[in-house]
Amino acid sequence: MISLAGKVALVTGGTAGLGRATVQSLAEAGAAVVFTGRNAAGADETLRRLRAAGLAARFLPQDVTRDEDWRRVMADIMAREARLDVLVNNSGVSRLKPLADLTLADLRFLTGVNVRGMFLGIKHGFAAMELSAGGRGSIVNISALNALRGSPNSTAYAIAKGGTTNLARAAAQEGRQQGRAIRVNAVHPGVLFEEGDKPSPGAIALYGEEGAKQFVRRNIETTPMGRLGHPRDIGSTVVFLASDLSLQVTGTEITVDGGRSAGEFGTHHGVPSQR
Amino acid sequence: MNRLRGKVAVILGGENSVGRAAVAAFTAAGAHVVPLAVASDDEAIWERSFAQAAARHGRVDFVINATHSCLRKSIGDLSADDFMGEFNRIGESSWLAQKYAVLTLRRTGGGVIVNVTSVLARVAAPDCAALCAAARGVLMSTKSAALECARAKDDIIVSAVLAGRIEGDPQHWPDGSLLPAAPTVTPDDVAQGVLFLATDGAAYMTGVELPVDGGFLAT
Repeated sequence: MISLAGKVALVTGGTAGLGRATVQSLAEAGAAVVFTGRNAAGADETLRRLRAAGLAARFLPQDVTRDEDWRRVMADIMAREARLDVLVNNSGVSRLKPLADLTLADLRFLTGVNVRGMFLGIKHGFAAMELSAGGRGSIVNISALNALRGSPNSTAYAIAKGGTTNLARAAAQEGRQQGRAIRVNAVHPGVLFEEGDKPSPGAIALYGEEGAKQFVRRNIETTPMGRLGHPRDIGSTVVFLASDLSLQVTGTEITVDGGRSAGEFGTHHGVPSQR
Repeated sequence: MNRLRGKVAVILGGENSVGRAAVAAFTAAGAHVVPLAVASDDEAIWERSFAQAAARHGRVDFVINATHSCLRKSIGDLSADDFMGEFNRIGESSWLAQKYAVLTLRRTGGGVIVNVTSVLARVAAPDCAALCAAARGVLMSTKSAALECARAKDDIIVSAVLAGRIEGDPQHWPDGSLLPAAPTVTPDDVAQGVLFLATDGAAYMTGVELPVDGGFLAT
């Protein structure tokens, strides 16, 4: 088991699914974990599950798009934990619609959280790691397969998640400037399901109840590992990137998708010939 | 050569060197060029601007989006508003251009859309994080639009050109200070890549990313 003992980690959006699982994975590995989000009930549920597993973490409310929220969260961590080693920019939003139905308001909603929020995280993360951890640390941006492969209904989401991924790669270039040694990587989850194979509300909105079930079935069939991902699959990858086992890993695009995007289907299920 | 005689190309980004070269290349190939500049976050204005551009010659065959920007500043020196301002100058305006290009070409019977961005979509550099982020976003959005158009069988090709290191227009395009290891390409080189994607020779290509970079991305 990888040990993160002595490290302090901050996870945004730890109030649901992938973020919650990441909080738990980091805590299990021995890190002191602070998580943030906007959903107090979701935060309570994360804390309840941690307690049930004999673990603990600390919650702070935060809107990641607000600079003042980042200042408050970092000041709180400096006052309490007095260092920051790991930042997981996990808060993200998705909105999939055909191009003609997407509006500028949709795009701004997506880039606000996925790009602006992660920019602020990296900026404040760099400063906190310089201040408290000798300029060393690891930052992980949670992106999406849409940053790696094309997919219909995601002209706006692809702008946002393409931004998420390349922001990490650009930040990795700056992570070694000014005496720093901060690694920045992007992680690309595949299709994730927390409970059984129930379709997500997003899939139901896009494909309808029956279509969403088919979507899940096709996703399982076209994933080399033969199952959908669980948020814990991402949590364990983040633990590796947070640890000293990955000291030479920075600026990478890591995919945790059961093999999907290495193969024919990527994020979708083929495209009909125009001929 | 008049291989695009009678065709109409709407070109955005004429204020920068690559956009200007695209205007020259399409004009030289015999196309009618309609330069278009839309600086607005009102979609109604984008819609009207594209409608007016389409009305100029009664049709549109190509929409070339060479809108670009290259702000040089480290992450620590940027406010969130500075960063998003630069991201939006590229990402948001390209997304709007692509949306109204697709809607216009759907009405006028299909055509080719080329988004011109930078090799920074694939290879990151320090001190231009917003450009790196936006370039990847534009590239991946291009692929999404290409797949939607192919599925709808509406005869619209959407592809991207990734411009390499360009000297002489540092306000808009990365030069040797950001890409010191890259060979220099000219705006005309990039425009020829764009032109190729608009010709019949490229008719079965869509969602592609064509680097015009002197081999830089092969390294």
